[in-house]
Amino acid sequence: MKKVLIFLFTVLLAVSCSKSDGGESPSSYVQPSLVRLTMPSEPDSLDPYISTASDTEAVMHNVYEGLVLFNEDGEIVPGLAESWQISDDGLEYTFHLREGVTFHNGKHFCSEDVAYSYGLLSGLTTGSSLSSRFSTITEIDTPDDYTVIIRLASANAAFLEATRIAIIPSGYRECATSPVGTGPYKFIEYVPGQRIVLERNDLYYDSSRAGRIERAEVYIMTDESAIVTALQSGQLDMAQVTGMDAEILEGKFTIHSNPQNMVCLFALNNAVPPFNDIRVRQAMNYAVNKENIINGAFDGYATRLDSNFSPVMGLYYNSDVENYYPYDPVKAKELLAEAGYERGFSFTITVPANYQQHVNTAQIIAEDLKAVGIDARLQLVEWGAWLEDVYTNGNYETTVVGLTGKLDPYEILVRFVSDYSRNFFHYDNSEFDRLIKEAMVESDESERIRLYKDCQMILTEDAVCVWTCDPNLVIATRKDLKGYKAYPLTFTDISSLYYEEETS
Amino acid sequence: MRYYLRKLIGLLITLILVSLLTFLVFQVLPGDPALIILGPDADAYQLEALRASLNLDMSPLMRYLSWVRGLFSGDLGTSIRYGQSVSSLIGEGLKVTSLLALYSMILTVLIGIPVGLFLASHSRKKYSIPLSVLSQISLSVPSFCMGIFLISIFSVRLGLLPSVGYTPLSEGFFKSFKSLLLPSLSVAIGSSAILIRYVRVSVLKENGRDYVRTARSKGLTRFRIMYAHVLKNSLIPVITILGILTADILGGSIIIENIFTLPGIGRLITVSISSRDLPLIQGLVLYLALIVVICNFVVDLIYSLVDPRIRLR
Repeated sequence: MKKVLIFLFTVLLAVSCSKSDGGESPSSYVQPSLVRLTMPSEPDSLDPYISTASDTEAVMHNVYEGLVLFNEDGEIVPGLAESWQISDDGLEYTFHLREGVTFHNGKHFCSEDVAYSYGLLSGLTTGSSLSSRFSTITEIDTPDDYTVIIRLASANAAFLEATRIAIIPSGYRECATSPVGTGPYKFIEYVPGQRIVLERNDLYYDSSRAGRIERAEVYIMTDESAIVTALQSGQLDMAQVTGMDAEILEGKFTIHSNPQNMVCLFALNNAVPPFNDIRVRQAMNYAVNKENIINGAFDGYATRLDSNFSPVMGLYYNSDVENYYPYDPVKAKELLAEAGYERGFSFTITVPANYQQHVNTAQIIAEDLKAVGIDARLQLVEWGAWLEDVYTNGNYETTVVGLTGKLDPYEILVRFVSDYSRNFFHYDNSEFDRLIKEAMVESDESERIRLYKDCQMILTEDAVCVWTCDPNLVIATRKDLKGYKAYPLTFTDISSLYYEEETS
Repeated sequence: MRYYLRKLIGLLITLILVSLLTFLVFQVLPGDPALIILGPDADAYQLEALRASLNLDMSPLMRYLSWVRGLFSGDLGTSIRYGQSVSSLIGEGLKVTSLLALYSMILTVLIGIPVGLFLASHSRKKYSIPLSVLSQISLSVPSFCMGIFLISIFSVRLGLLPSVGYTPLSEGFFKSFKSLLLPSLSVAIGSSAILIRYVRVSVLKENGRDYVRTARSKGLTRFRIMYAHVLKNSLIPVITILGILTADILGGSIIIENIFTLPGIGRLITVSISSRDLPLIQGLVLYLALIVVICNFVVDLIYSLVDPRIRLR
């Protein structure tokens, strides 16, 4: 009996391990013209006007391109528009389009495609706008094949950044199933639950951004340990990993760790006592040890924050806020006593239970606060309940959450404007509101930068929240896979990647 | 005939209750489904469009009725996350999951029955103790642990088998089989351990029966007694447990499918729940209920084939 069993088992293994067709074995089936990477969640929609998930955009931005693009520093650079002018009143945008660009379906790119795309976005042609960022468009004019003039109802300095949204071919309606763009990679297929396959666009117009690797397979993988073993067994060339896994992979893989323009914070409801007292909020800022959070909840792979801005925002980032509230429990106790809480107080931290890192952060915060005599209770809630109670209704005491990054400072800071519908901090400062409104219509770039820097300082001085860190995006790549670029927005740039052997 | 009719009615009632229950659960859950699907960065215009497409402006009762109406015309609705019809998504997932179920069941039987018989007929401790310990271990190690263990040996160390993704049958049987071997094995090791115990106990029980003694005194060989008489009679509990195990795997092994990145039913369940894809969840729940009922029915049928004394009434 035993012999039969062993025999059967051996036959099974032998059959499956023997070279079947083509004789590939996983350790050697990598052609240098293929890169296999991962995305952490199922794409929400391949249609760029419906999709809201940043994981989806990270991949599809290789396929779709907008009038403008952004570089590694988050600066806006020419994309399908070679240049543009903005009228002095900030209401009229004139884009001069690039000539000689073709869509992946062979259509020649010209101003009618821009008019079609912005017609859909603004709702001028359909009757209902797809996004509030484009609902202020009043007119789209195409004086010739390579010029587009877009007029707005009200000035909005953030509009230029919004024009990085995809341009699709005029009249094309199949983007949800077979995406067509102008980017360095063409969409080949999407197998739900499995992968997205892209192929190099050999007709790409800009040689400095053209792809080098012929084919990219993006696997949808959710399990962390599965990603690590797939990397180790040579079934993936590049993947996003956790800090802990990065330490395991270090040596055999190149680890890239960069801030990802996300703001993790311990939010305080500024409208309820005792958090309506600035001294209490400042005390909290002194009492929380951010280094502990970075090491404990993020395995050390995070960048410390002291205002609602990540340093990757480059020009707009105000470095004066750094270490504004150093870890100082003694000072915290003094401030609490000053505010009349020398015996401390107790409150609740409402945390979305599906984000383990936020839960861990809340636990570390609760420990730190205990040291200054404050008793923090954790209340874990379901994500749907968090969105409803905390985010939409602002009905909470404190919470721990991460806010995803935006390229335009206005989009980040508008959350703190007193009449903004999702200002769940209940922060109300007329000086801040005034500066934000001023910045929104300010056409002078250096003046705009100064205004936004002032806004960050105000937030820090007012101790609106305890900002903790920007969790780093940790990417492991094969040692011979070069050219990885980190962006201040989730964008997996495939075109910059290449294998070392290829170039030498 | 009446038996089938009764089964069918039972099936219908089960399905209606199950669908009503899932529907109700998602009505009680807190939060705006549109906001959960689109996330905190959702734009007001996008939220509004999604609410309209989800029929959130209708009353819950109307929504349920319109869903049931679609059901009768064979329309399970359209998935929000994938934008494809729910029935085609489940169909695609079933292709993977049913192959996984088939391979794991074959492996389970190939390992479970011989080892079980061996343990039953060799009470000598020299063989039985190590095998019992082994089956005890594979029973207590969860399948995801087994999966990672197998990956680290066969994929990472030896580089023999892939651990990511599924190759469809259309690309060749061996390639496809290879992509499913490790996941099937992870399932089979645990379930064969269960089977081993059932086979052993059931065979031991039969061995003590009078007819076995008679057969032996008649001069039949041990081998012949075992295969011609005992095995057949001890199959009933074995079939029961195989039915349960099959229904279990066909229902989608959520953990195994996630570890091996297989686009099966288990993966669909994970995605549909985390993205609050209501039409897909409802479709999946119906499917799961259907699978359990069908598996039980098939098991009943096999009973009557194996033991004609059992009749379907």
